[in-house]
Amino acid sequence: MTDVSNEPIIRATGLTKRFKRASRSSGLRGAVVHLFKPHYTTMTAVDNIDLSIQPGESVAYVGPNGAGKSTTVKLLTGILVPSEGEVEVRGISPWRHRIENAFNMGVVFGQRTQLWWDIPVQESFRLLGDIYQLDTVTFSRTFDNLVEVLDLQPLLNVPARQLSLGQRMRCDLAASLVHSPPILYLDEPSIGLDVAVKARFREFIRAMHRERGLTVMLTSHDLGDIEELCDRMIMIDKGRIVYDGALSEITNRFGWERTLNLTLSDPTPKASIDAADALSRRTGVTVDQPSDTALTITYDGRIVTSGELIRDLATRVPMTDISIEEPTAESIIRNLYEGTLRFDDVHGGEA
Amino acid sequence: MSQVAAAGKGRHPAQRYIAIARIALQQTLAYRGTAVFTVLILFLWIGILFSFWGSAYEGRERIAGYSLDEMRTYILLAYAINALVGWRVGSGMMARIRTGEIVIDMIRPLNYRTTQLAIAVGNGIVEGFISFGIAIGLGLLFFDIEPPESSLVSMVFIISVLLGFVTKVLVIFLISLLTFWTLQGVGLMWAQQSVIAILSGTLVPLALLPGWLRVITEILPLRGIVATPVSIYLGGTSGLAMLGFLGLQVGWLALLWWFTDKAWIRAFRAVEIQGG
Amino acid sequence: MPADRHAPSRPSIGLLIRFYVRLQLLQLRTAIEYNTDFWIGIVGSALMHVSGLVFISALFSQIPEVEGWTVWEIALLYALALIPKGVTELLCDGPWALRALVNSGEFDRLLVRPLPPSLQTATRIASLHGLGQLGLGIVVFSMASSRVELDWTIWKALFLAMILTSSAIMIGAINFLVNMIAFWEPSAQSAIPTLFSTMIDFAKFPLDIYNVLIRGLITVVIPYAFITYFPALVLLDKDSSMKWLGYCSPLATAIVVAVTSFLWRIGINRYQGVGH
Repeated sequence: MTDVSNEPIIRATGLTKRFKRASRSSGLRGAVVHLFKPHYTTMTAVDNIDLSIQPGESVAYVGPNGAGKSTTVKLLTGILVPSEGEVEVRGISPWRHRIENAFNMGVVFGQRTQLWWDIPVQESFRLLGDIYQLDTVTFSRTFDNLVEVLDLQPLLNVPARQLSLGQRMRCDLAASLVHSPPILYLDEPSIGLDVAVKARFREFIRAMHRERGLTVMLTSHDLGDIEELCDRMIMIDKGRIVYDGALSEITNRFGWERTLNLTLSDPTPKASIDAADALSRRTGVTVDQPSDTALTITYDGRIVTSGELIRDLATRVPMTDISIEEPTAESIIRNLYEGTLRFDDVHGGEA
Repeated sequence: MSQVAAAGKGRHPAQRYIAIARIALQQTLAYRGTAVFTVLILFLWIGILFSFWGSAYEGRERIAGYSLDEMRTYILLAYAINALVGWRVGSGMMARIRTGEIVIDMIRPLNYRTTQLAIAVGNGIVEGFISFGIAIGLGLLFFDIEPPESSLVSMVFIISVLLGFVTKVLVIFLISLLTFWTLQGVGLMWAQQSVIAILSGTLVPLALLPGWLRVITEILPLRGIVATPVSIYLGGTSGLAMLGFLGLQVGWLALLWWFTDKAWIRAFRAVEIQGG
Repeated sequence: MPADRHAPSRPSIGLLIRFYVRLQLLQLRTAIEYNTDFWIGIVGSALMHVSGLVFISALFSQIPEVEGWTVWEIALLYALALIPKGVTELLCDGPWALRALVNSGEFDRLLVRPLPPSLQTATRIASLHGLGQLGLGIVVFSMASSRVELDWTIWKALFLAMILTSSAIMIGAINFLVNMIAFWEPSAQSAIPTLFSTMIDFAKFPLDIYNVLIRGLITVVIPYAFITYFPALVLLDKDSSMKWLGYCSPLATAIVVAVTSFLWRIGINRYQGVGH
């Protein structure tokens, strides 16, 4: 069920957010100096990003810590005001019209519950129903449905402070959707959850997304979440978007570094020299010999195929077994987090 | 918590507590901004009282046996001394009981009451420094504060202040123990602050209290916190009387020292029964 | 998503008021559920204020009056402060949680809800011990009013009601004012809010005893005098050139509320990083 007009439901243009940090030396002296001559450094958390999310999309927003993920989410939810650029969610500016925008979204902050601590869960829900100005019929319908799907019945009379983390998360998920918003933001929702709860969680969101056309924006370190819930991935690093496209395409974009592992029929200590010679006219290729009977060839999949390499090597190197390693989405994302992802473009590359 | 954890294993048993005091000192220094403002809050009342007595003494030489100068000296000293033991001592302990972190203290080879004393000493050095600094500054700048009549009196004064310091810590300890049964912090804090403020002679010299209340103050050890040292300072106490006062303070201290141990054990057991 | 839902809009004033009441009652209910704490909170706070009264009576035990004010007239000032403070503690103590909200990032959640963050902040805490203060204030007021020269008229009664209401609102606004420092200085502990909040104690005594600085402080800087002193001048028909200020209390409240709202806006903007 997508919006007919084809207008993006979330749109950001030139979105930038800078922070001023005081930089001062420590100790009493530093504090006094700072009093008279304050020195600030400006740090750009989000750098001129453009986002366009269609209704019904399910987007993973991925990046290492400090990359600008949560800052972006805060900009989109109206918590922060941009330094430059525009944000529009369903046509309105989330920070200029904060209260109106609040009706358009549900937010789950991982590890922080939105339920009232000391009252039964049920009452928190009723309170939310009123805060979001829901009439009784609509509220009951949505509430009952959420309770059933997320199996919240045994928890309804329990005060939030007595719930386990997994139980609270389920309740928070329901609470964020009590007003049936078109957009759901999930900020690190599955930290600390066990496998069973995570599975249930993902299943629920998938159903909401599929059946109700819920637009989902997820920031998460959990690769399982990303792979199961999102079709589209936006990767952000140092405040800039480095990838924005289908999740399945990410291996094409970044997974160009492949490894060819050869097992040799006889121990051949000099095999690497022969191999290097055979591949001399190929670029972007490195040869390693981890042992007398093994060769490792790392190559750029965009320039040369494994077939071509094997043909080159077949006559010069006695191989009995071949295996090819390709990066998975998971390993690519991990590389992003570890800062080892390489963005060098070669002709023939990508999105 | 980190204070106790970092205490380490000293050779002499007292060294552990000295280490605890040292860490408390560091922590208070780190929060010295807060410490300054906390002391300033106490000194608000000095402003009020000075103004009040300034007006009250119009046309009068003495009230309840004090001249204006003596009254001002009394107030300045009373508040400065009271500031030596801040709210942190009680509230820290109550918080640990409430959150359950107290069990960590319970399994350590340290006497919890003595640990609290060590923490109070660490805090007190900073906050006391600040408060006495401010008091003396105010005293010298604005008023004629009389120094004590002799160095003997000064010494006895200081001893009395120190005895009062320990007394206050122990009393706060006792009241804070109630947290084991009630779990409420704020109400206990207020109760403890106000009770100590009146019965120690901080709010007003004890001579001004109504008769029945004055009788209570003579029975309780709280007067040793402020009233006793300040009256020693102001002079007019014979050597024998000074000895008597000190003796009373020491006697009470011994009783409190013993009693806090018993109370702690009792609280300990109560926690076990309730499954803490 | 159901498309036939009526489009929700900015909550109306009526809705906001209903939410205020509802959220506040929720907090109160929660507070009552912690039974022992409820009573200890009340007892503790009562003790604190009773000690204030003991203090006043002690001050006056030896002198009949100060600057033309008798002890019961000063008790009246006390009551005029206690009653609105009690009400505010009961209904608007939430701002004291602001520091924790900002530090933990919980404040974000307030910004994602379709309710003004000021309302959500105000209803964050309900301090039942406000009842103790309120009760005590009423008792003291009744006792004092029969022992001073107070000629009751309809106008005075109305005046009193107006004053108490305006004072409660002013104290609520000041609660916000002193606690929103957290937007600029979000350290985990700060004694600054308590410092300013305690200054109300100055206003429990007649302005006449203070020097120019303190008078200016509680009239212009943080106008506590409009809660106690000036209204008392009117109630007691005192001969004073400043009596007309008693009628200006609501104006003073309006100014404080305006300043507070203005600064709150700036504080929220700061939290949201406007202008960076």
